Formats: sequence, structure tokens, C-alpha cells
Amino acid sequence: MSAAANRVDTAGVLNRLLAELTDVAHAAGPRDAAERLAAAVRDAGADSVDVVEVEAGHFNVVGRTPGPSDPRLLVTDLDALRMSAVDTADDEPASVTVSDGFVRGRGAEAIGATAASLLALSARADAGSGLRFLAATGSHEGGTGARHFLDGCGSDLPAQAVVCSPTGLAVHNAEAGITQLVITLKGRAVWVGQSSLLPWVNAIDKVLTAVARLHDSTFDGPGHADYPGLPSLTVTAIRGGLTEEFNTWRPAIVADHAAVLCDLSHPPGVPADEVVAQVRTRLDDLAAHDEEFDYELATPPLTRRDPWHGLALAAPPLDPSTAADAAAAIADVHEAVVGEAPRVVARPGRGGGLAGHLGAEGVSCVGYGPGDPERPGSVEVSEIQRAGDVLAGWSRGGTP
Amino acid sequence: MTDRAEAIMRHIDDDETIELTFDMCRIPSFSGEEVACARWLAGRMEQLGFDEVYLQEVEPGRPNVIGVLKGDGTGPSFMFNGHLDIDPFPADQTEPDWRPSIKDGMLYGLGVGNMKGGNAAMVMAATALKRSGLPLTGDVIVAGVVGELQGGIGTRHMIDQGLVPDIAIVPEPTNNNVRTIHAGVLEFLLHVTVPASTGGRDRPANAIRQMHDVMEALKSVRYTYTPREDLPALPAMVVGAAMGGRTSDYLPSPIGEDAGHCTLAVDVRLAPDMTVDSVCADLERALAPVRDAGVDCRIDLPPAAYAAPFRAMGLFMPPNDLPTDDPLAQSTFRWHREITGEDPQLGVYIPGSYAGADSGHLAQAGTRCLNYGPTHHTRWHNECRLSNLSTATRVLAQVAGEFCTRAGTRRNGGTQA
Repeated sequence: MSAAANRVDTAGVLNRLLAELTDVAHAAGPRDAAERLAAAVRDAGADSVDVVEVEAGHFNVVGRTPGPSDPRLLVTDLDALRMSAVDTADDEPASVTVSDGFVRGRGAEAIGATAASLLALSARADAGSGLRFLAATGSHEGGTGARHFLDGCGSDLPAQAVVCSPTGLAVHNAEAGITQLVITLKGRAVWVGQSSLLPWVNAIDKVLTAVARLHDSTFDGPGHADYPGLPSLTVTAIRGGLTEEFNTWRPAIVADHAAVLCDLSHPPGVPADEVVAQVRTRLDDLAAHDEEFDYELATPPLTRRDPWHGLALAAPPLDPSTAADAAAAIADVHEAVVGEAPRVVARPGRGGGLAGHLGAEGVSCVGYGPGDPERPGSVEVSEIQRAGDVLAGWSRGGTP
Repeated sequence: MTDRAEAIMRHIDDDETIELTFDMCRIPSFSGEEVACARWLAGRMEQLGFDEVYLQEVEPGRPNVIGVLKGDGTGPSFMFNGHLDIDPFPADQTEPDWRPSIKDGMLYGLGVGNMKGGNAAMVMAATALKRSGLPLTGDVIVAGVVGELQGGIGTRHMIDQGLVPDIAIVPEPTNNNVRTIHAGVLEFLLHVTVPASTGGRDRPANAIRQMHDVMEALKSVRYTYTPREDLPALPAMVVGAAMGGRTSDYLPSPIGEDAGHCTLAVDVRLAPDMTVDSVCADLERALAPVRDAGVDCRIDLPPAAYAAPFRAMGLFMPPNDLPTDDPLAQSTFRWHREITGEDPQLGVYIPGSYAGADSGHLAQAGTRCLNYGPTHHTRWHNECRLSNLSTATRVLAQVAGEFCTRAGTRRNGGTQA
């Protein structure tokens, strides 16, 4: 069967999907978004679709086409789809248009990636394959949705998975892992007028000392050719003031609490714990030379309230060796559909994808999808169609 | 003691002053949350027979409370000015306990030191004048003001509304010493901004990391001022708050992206001959090497620190330097000696003279002003010696009586101005 013949009525289906997925981005909240996406998944041909509450207010959409359990899993990022509507400066809802062969508008890349996965689902709906589908929540919180799904699989783990995300039809066969740290320094408060009379310790001064030490550090590890510079620590936020609430309205009193939120990126092959241990060693060294350096180090699960909105989970890295089977399968189908071999590359960036959790459970997983991650807001319709064809081919076992 | 003085003294009841202190300490009134205390005090002053009591809205829902004993206009107006807002609650205290207590001659309560003890003394001092029935020549005004810890926004508003007394005592914590000199206070924000992360392989700049270098530069600042032996700790600086994140919204940067913006809130206590301009020039000199190294840092003067999320001082608090031979200072000194038999400190009081106060705003507006209050500077301003409270109430009442009533006749002959 040719690739063209394998396509469903892509123009019609795609237009319907784009409308449905834009509708998801306009949802009133997480549950509404999940239910709207669930409806789209049913429309794509899945006969078993559930909205699963991962934790209060956070939902996965889990579906399967009719048939016995298939060893393959399609994964999309539900939060990316939903948050494309609100995670912007002007809070205008996502709204895409289709014209001149492009899907354009904010959220186009998230909508395009999800549309490709639903095209594949649609193509496999009548094949009796039991292809599984997961729209996962919590991608920005360390992959809570993916973790919840995997925990529910028991022994029925998929053998291969594709995370449908904007890769420009490249195959992403590696990801950096990421975890977060909150480093808190405790000081001793005193009013400025008594600063020459009573002992005090400025927690802000101490935490900035820690920042300088850690930011300027290089961390030991085998390194990874695709991730030069990792492991690395990035300081993303600071708070300092009085008490654990970081009260800021009385700067005449020496701050007794200060903390920084740090992202710790690490390449495949370097576990997070090893890098965290190196961070702790550096902090211990500071404490050894300064008896007033009184620190605490917290790792996920971190508070997700103000001020940190921290990760609930560490996102593990994806090792290319784990991804190899899926990468080879996708590459083969891609070459058959597109006519040339895809680029097989590591996912750029400092980590935090969904694939790492799958890989950590032994699922051979890659990232693949339409849309250039460096150029959000525009996806070629034909690229969505090609991605749908490739994913459909992969889902039937490598036959384009 | 004159007949007038005795008439005033007869109407001071220490138990009533303690009860008033307790009542105020039971009402939480952190900066921005003074309204309940202001309303309660307005009601109390009405009960005590003040001729006029009103709330003066400084910001929506945030009023000063003003009580007035009317004079006949032939004498100077005299104000007692005390702030209702109290210091925040540091981490090494136990949980806030809004139930004041007395133990071993000390009254303990949140905010009593700065300055609900002084507030109670001033209210009861004015009440004693009222109850004495002595005709007043000038108005005696009791002002409970908001936001002193935020730069004196309540008193500044009151002044801007035209309420500027001739004479004032602000019963800040002086341990019943006569403080005529105190520091000026400048609170400002110091921002570091870096360009948005390029996402490239070269390590981008990080605003929080750069703030470390700025902090080190701040430690090295050399101020231009004339050292004073009586104010050895001035000038003084504290970095009291920090926020940083993606941008000036201070939200954490997205995963793996360096912080683009970091801000410190800084408090500087100025020696009497320092100015905002001189402090800024000194700071700019200290920051120059950091700037030369490529750090984009910027000083943001008042009212910047008052804006959310900091809510710190929105005004520069001027210093006060009333001559010690001013009749107000001399009268306060004399009455303290008369009542206690001991000489108080006059002029500088350490560490109180390192504080700012609303007396700076009043002095700048032309009011002759000093500080005399019953509490002292403990680490957390939560205690007041009962004997001090009693003395302060008496001294404040007698000084106000001296300036706002007709001269009295001494029992041993002669008159007192």
C-alpha cells in the first residue's frame, strides 16, 4: 500500500482536528481541556478514551484504538496544547488559521504535533491494533502525567513510544535530564540601628555567595558529545527577606531567609543524584569555611505554589541506546514516506521532556513531529500530514 | 510643682495607660494593615472625650486617626505623633501572640516597643490634659499614623493635607531619653538586568549571579560624610530583601533559562550631613567597576521600593536635628528630671538615633520636634518597662501642658512658662 493510499482524508480530517484542537486551547480549565481533547481522540477513532485525574486539577487523556493491546504508544503534551492559550504576555487565547498551506498562530506547533498524532490514530482506527495514545499533563512539572501513566501500566508497558512534539521531522533520540534544587540560607535578623551592637547574619549575602560558587562551577562527569557544558546549574529565581515567607517590606531588618531556585541539567549517562551530590559538596565546603553558612537543600517534589512553582518530579534523561529501536523504526518509515533519511539528533535544550520517563522504564522512545521548535507559530500543513503518515506507518510496525 | 502640673498629674492613671497599651497590642497592625487599630483608637479617643476625632484616609482603606483637644488659638499647636504600624515578625521568634502580658515589671506584647507603648502614653497624656480642665491656648493633637515603617507615608500625607503643628513629640523608643537627633533613611531598589538568554552554547549571563558582584561592591562603598563621635555607626546599610527571576515580574525563569532580572531592597541610614544625592554619588562610584565589567545595574530611588511586591519605604525620611537648647528639648529634659530625679540623655540616644522617624518629616515641614518615648530598642521591639510607661505619660502630659496652657503658679511661689 502506498503512503498516499494509506492517508485518510487528510484535508478533511486535518481541518476538523485543527478546529477541535483549537477548541482545546480555548478550554475553561484543565478538566475542560482534557474532556475536549478526549472528544477529539474519540472522533479520531479511539473506542476507549478516559480522562484520568493525575492529581487534583491535572488530567491525562488516555485512549486506545479498537483491538488487542499494541506494543506502541503515541504521546502528546496536553499542557503544551492547553497552555499555548495562556502562557503569553497578552493572554490572548490561541487561535490558528490555515492558509497558504500553513497553520499559523500562537500554539500552532502544539496543535500541529497533536494533530499529527491524531491523524495516525485515525489511520489506525480500523486496523484492530489497539494502538495506545497518551496526552500527558505535567510536562512543566517534571512529567507527572507520564509518570502516572507508566505507574498504571504495570507489566503492560509499551515496547516503543513516540512523543509527538515539534522536531521539524527530525528524530530526537536523546534528552537531557533535569531536576531542580531550592537552596535556602538562614541568617539572623537585626534592625539596622542595632547592626553595630548585636550579631547578625545576612541570608541574602550568604545565598549570593552560594550562587557565585555554584554558577561558576563545572561539574564532574563523563560528559556527552550532544550536550557540551552539561551537567550545569542554572539559577532561575531568588527570594530573600524575613521568615520563610521572604517578607520584603522591612528592608531595614537584615534578611533571615534567602533561597534560590536552580535547574540542574544533566546529560544521558549522568544520574541526577550524582550532580546533586556535587552541589552538596560545594555547599559543604562553603559551610566548612564559614560557620554562619547555614544551608538547606531541597529536591523535587518542590512546592508548586509561589514563589517557586517548582518541579514535582525530576525528569530523567533519555539515553540514545534506549531510544535506538524506536529511532530506527521511525527513521525507516520516515525515509519511505519522505524519500530521504531523517536527521537523528539529540533534543536540544537543557532537559525536561517526557521521553526520559519512558526511557527510564525501558520503553524505547523518541521525539518526532512537525514544526520547527526554533520557529513557533507556524507549521506547514504538508508537514503535519507527513508526520501523520510516518506515525501511522510506525504504528503498524514499520510499514509505510 | 505648680498647680497646673498637679492638676494634670492627678488625672494620670497608670492602670488605664496599661489597659490602653494592652488593647492596642491585641490588634495586629503590620504596615498596610493598620485600619482596625486606627478605627479602634478613634473610638477610644471619642470615649476619652477628645473634642474632635476623625479618620484621614491616606490610601483607600488605610486611614490616619486624628484626635484634637481644642485650644483658644492663642498658643502654639502641639502634636503627639505615633505610628500604628508595627515591625514584621522575624523567623527566630515564636508564633505571633497578640495577647500581651506583664511579668517582673515589664509589659510584653507585639509592637509595644515600636511603638504602641509610646502611643498609649501620648493618648493618656492628652487625656490627662483634657480631664484637668485647664483651658488650652493651643490645640493638642494626637495623631496615630499609618506607614511610618514605609517611609512615613501617613505623616507625609497629613502634612500635605495642611496639618502641620508648631511643636511635636514623637514618642518613638528612646527609653525615656530626649532624642533630638536622628538619622535620615533612604530605601532604594537596586536592579540587575541581563539580556534574554540566547539559548546558545555559550553560557549566558545570569542576573542573580551578577548580583553577587553588585553585593560585594555595596560592601565596599565609601560614603562622603563628616564622622561624628556621637553617631559612630552612621552611615549604615542593610540589604533586607531580594527578588529575582525571568523578568521584572520575578517569576522563575523557564526550565533551564538563566534569570534575567534581580532586585535588592537596600536601607541606608544617613549621617546628618549626608543627602540622597551624596549617597547616590557614593553608590555610583562603588558600582562603577562592576558596571565596567559589563553588569547592567540601576539604582531605583523612592518611591520605587514602595511598589509591589516590595512595599517598603516609599519616601526618603529626612533626619532631625533639633538644637538641644530649644525650649521643647529643655522642657522635656526638665520634666523628666522633675518626675524621676534623674537626668535623661539629651541629644543623641544610641541606638535610637540610628532610626528614622516621622519627626524628620515634621521637622522638614517646620515643626519643632523631638522624640521621647517609654520603650527601648530590644531585638524585636516587644517589651516596655512599666515604670517607663508611667514616667513617659507624665512627662508628655506636663510638656504639652507647659506649651498649651496658661502659666501656673508654683506652690513655692513664682511662675513657670
